[in-house]
This record gives sequence, C-alpha cells and structure tokens, in this order.
Amino acid sequence: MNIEELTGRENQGIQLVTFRLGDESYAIPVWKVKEIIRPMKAYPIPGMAGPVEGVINLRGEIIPVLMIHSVLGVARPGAARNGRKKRIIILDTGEGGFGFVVDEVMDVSRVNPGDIRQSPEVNRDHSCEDAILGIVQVAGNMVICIDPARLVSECLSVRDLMSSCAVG
Amino acid sequence: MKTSDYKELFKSEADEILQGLEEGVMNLERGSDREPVIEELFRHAHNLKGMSGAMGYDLVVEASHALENILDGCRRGTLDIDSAGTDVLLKVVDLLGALVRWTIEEEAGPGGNELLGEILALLDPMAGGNDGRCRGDQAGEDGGSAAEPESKETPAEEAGCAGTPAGMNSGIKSTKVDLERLDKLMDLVGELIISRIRLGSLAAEAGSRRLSEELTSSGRLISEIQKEVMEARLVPAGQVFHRFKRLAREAARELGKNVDFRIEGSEIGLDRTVLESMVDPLVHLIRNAIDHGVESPEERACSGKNETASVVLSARRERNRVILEVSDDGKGLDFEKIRQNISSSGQAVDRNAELTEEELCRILTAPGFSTRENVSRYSGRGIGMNVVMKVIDSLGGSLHVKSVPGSGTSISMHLPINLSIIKALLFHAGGNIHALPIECIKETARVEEGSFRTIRGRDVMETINGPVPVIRPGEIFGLDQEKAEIRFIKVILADTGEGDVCLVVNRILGQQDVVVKSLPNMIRGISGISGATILGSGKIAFIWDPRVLFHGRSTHESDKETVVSQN
Repeated sequence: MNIEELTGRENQGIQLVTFRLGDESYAIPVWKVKEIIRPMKAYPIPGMAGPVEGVINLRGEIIPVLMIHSVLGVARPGAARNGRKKRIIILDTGEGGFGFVVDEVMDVSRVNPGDIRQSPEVNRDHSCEDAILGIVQVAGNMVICIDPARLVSECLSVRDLMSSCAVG
Repeated sequence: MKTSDYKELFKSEADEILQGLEEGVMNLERGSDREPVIEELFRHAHNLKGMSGAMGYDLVVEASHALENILDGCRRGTLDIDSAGTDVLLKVVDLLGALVRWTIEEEAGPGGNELLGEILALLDPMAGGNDGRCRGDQAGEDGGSAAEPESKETPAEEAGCAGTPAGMNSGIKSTKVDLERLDKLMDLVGELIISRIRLGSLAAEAGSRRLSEELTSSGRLISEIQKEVMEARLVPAGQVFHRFKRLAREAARELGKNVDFRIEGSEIGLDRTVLESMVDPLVHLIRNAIDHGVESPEERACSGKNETASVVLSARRERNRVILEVSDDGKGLDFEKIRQNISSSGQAVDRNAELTEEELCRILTAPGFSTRENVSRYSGRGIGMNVVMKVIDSLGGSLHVKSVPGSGTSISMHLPINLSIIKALLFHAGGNIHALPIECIKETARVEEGSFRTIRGRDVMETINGPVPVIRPGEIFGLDQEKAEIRFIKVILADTGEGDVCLVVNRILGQQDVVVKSLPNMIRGISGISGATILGSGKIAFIWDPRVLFHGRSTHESDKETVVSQN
C-alpha cells in the first residue's frame, strides 16, 4: 500500500478519475490515464482466455484491452443494460499502454491523500485486494481507489493461470 | 557532434580496422601474396594510430605504433613473419581489441597499461633485438622512417584520420547511419503503407477515379521507399562471417585437420536480427563440419583426396530468401550409424529404407542426436543441431541437409530477408481475420464436408502425399466454430515444418503484404501467435505461427503410425 508514492508530487491533493463498473464506483489517479475513448472493436486474441478482452487498433498502435470486471470481482452488466456510456480508459504503465473497459466515466475530482482510507477486509474470492489502494469519499459516494500497475500484474497472473490451464 | 558521437565513430572504425588486421594476418598465414597483405596490415595499424591519436587515446597510439613498426620491418624485408609469428600477431590483435574497448568504456578488468605491456612484450622479441618500443611520436629508428613513406602514399587518409576521426573528408561516398534511425524509418514506412491502403479504400468508397489514380502513383512511390529503406537496413553477411575465419582456423588446428576455410557472398545483405541470431547456429555448423565432416589429413590421403579439406561458408540470395550454407568435402554423413542411432534411441524408422532429405533433417535435429561416441570440446553432445533448428524455426526459415558419402555434406538454411514485412494469406475463422505466412501454405482448396476420413476418431484429409490431419481453429484457439450448413468447406493445406495439416477456415481472403507488429508486452509470448498486423480496413489480424500452432498435431507425430498402418 503506497498511497504516498502515488500522490507524492501533489501536496494540494490528487486528482482522481472516477468511473463505474457494474454498480460500484472506482477511481484511478488521473496522471496515469493517457486517454479515454469510446468503445471500439476489440479483436479477441486466439488462444487467450482470461481478463484480456482483445486488442484494439488505437491509431495504428495495437493495445490490449482488459475486462477488469472479473479481476475486481464485479458482475458484468447484462446486455440489456444501457451500454452507451461505456468507455475504454487507456493507461500508460511504462510497459506499453493498455486499456480497460468501464461502464461509465463519471468525473474527475480532487481529493486529499489523507482522505483515502484503508479498505475494509472484504472477503472476496479474488486475489485483487492488492490492486486496491483504499476507499475515499467523493461527493458523498464511496469510491474504491485502485492502483493500475498492480491491476496489470493481477491481470497477468490471472492470465498465466488461465493460459496454463488452457494448455495443460 | 558531441564527444560521445566521436567515440561511437571511433569505436566502429576501430572495429573495422581490427577486423581487417585479423583477416590480413590470416591471409598472410594462408600464404597469399605477401606484399599487398603486409602493405594493407601496415596501413590498418597506421590508421588506428592516427585515429587514436586524434582522440587522445595514448595507450592505443603506443600499441598500434609498436605493431606498425613490426609491419614496417616486414614491408622493408628486414623482418619476416613465420607461422609462429602469425600466432603472435593474432594475439596482439586480440589484445589491441581489448585495449580499444578498455579505452572507450574505461571498463573494469585488466587495466590498459597491463594490456599495453602484454602487447609490447609480444612484439618486442619480434622486432629482432631492435628496440621497437617507441613512445608516442618520438619514434625510434624504425618508427621514424616508417612515418615518412606512408604519409606520401596516403595523404588524404592521413588528414582524414588525424583531423576528423570519422573519415569525413570530402569525396566520401557513404555515411554511417545509426541502426535505430533506420528501424524508426522502417516503422514509419510501415505506417505509411497502412495509411495508404486506408486512403485507397476511402477513395473506392467515394468512387473518385482521379483520387484512385493519384493514390496508385503514391503507392508506387511508397513501395520504392519501402524497398530502399529495407535494403539500407540490411547488413552484409560479411560483418558476421569474418569472425568465423578465426574460429575455423583454431578448430582445425586443435583437431589436427588441414582445412581451407572459405567465405563466399559476404556482400549479401541480411536483416540484422536474422544475421545476429544466426551466429550461434553457424558456429555450431562450422565446428561440426570440421570435427565430424572433415577427415584427418592421413585419411584424406588414403582415399585419394587433397589433404587440405575445404569448408565453405556461403551466402546467396534467392528471391525473398537468403540462403546460408556450410559445406565441406569431407566424408559425408554416416547413414549406417545414423540408422543404428535411431533404432537405439527408439525412433521408429524403417532400417532398410533410404533416408529422404527431410527424414534426415528431422533425425539430425532431434534433441540428443549425435553420431559421435566421444564428446569433444567442439561437438558431440548432440544438442547443437536441435538448437540450430530452433533458431531457424523462430525466424521462419527452413533447414536442408544434403550429404553424399565420401564426398561431403552441405547444410543450408533458408531464411527470410527481413522480418518486418511478410507475405501472408488472410483468412476468416471464428468471425475474425487471421494471417498465415505464405511460405507455409501449400495449397488452398474447397472440399465437400463428407470427404474427410476418420482415423481413430480424428478427421484426416486424403492428399497426394497421404492422409493429413484436419485442424479446426476451434480446437486450437477456442474460436467459435461457425457451423456451416453448406456443402463445401474451405481448407488450407499448410506445411508446419513438421508435417502437413489441413486447416478448416470460413473464408479465404487472399494473399497480401502485411507489416508485422510485435504484440504488446502484456500479451506477448502466446504460443502459436507470432505477431499481429493492421489491415487496410483498420482491422487487426493475428499472424499465426504454423510451427508452434500445430505442434504435436501434424502427421509425423503420434498419428503417423496409425496413418501408416491403415495404408
């Protein structure tokens, strides 16, 4: 858990992009976000199961897109739900960009790093607790703050698991 | 230019010179016409001195000066270099190389002064009592007289070397370009091609003929640029080949064989990545040729051959492939031993049947195969050919072995010239477009659903070469099987390098040049996928690696016995 590292450079608070996954609200630091785009066709990667939905062609660059719902243990909204607000958030992790699908991008808000509190131990059947930085109140809502880099490694470990299952 | 840039230039020029020195010394040993060789050696040593002088690398100056003195002695006939002398000179060249690296990188390890000391200690006795140690420009007798004639011979070079280390004097016809810059250019050309294709489809949509015509001519220009950049990015094979001379010489000496090692086609250009990855395989093949292929001088004399064997490393270009070949005029492969070896290792092969080239290849490259009873430093562990094969596979190349008992073996590797743009066959499967490199496609066909036979629960298709297993994309990649209600289905007959397979697809879209993009880090290393490409429509197609993809599914694996027994 290193909220300091994530926020260090901004004493006056950090800016968070808040978004919705299913019925839950999440947030990531804005400086990790490269861009937010409307959903585009993701090409499924043959032989790859798991959270990687596929790759998209972002102006000639091939970028993997994750369906982080499963990684974070959020139910994927049914097809019946309005998907018009769906977006892909593209992050720059240094290891090459990647994107993930969110059901709606809500806002960019500034919070005080001190206001981010440890998330209560929720007994979920997911190993993604590491990717969760903490919980913060934004405009009266509880928002779960996640660490994108950790999220990637979570995804990859899930991926490895999946692909080893697929092969074996 | 920054100092570091000069340093870079110095390094690359010095490397060339050192390479020239090494080659020269070996030519000397081979007994080529001495005078021009010595003249050239002298010039190299002198240039190195000039260059390092300009850079202020005093230790290199001193070392190359000492070498220059010796060579000058030879030039004048006051000194002679015998075969022991060439050994010493080679050692000196190595040390000089180490000294240059030490100077540039100021790296740890033995210090520059020690290296210089070693060099001088080696050269001093050669000078035949004369004090060859001449410091800097206060040349001794030898050095002083040496400096004069050569400055007359090559005034331009002298100026070029001393003034600007890069050889930037006017009249120079070539320039050095950073490889990274060429790679960047190549990427941009790739983007340009994609954007051009996209414009083409837009023009077609708009139905503008004038626009289409204009695009056709711009397309031509782009292909020209692509070709030029690709050519510029190629590295002459000689850049890697030269180092094998030394290797061959030492291997031959150690194994007590007389070998005339020749290099052909060093000017042939190859993709840098391809060339670099071929170093280890070539080392192995050359050692193999000298150790296994070539007989001892006595044996050769007995069988009426020239005592000096010939081993040739050659490069040649055939259309869009480069062929690297190592051939020897040795005893050829011992087919009897190979058969014994196979039967003892449990591989099923008909002992009486002639081995076809393909079978031979497969056997030789199987892990653990060796005809050698004893493991020598050079070969015999039986891991080598397998590694060679792996490298070639990873590059999308193929290996061919020809061997005639008593008259020699040649092993050739067919490699792609470049890896960034390939010809591929595009097809529809599971709702998306995929690509297979064109090299592995044998044919495409339309067959009736009922025409597959079933052998042990597996579908196979009859071909001229026997039954071939049928692969449905759904089996490998879990792609959605589109249950076709139609009578005819499309199949691609592909050579996976290990046997043919018959791939069932939804639709075949045709062949196209595609720009290979490596997969993003996060999803790299999926077996069966070698990259992706962006099509003109903006769609992404994955490029399948037929070898990994169909591994274990081709005819010669477990299916083979079944297939054969049913025949």
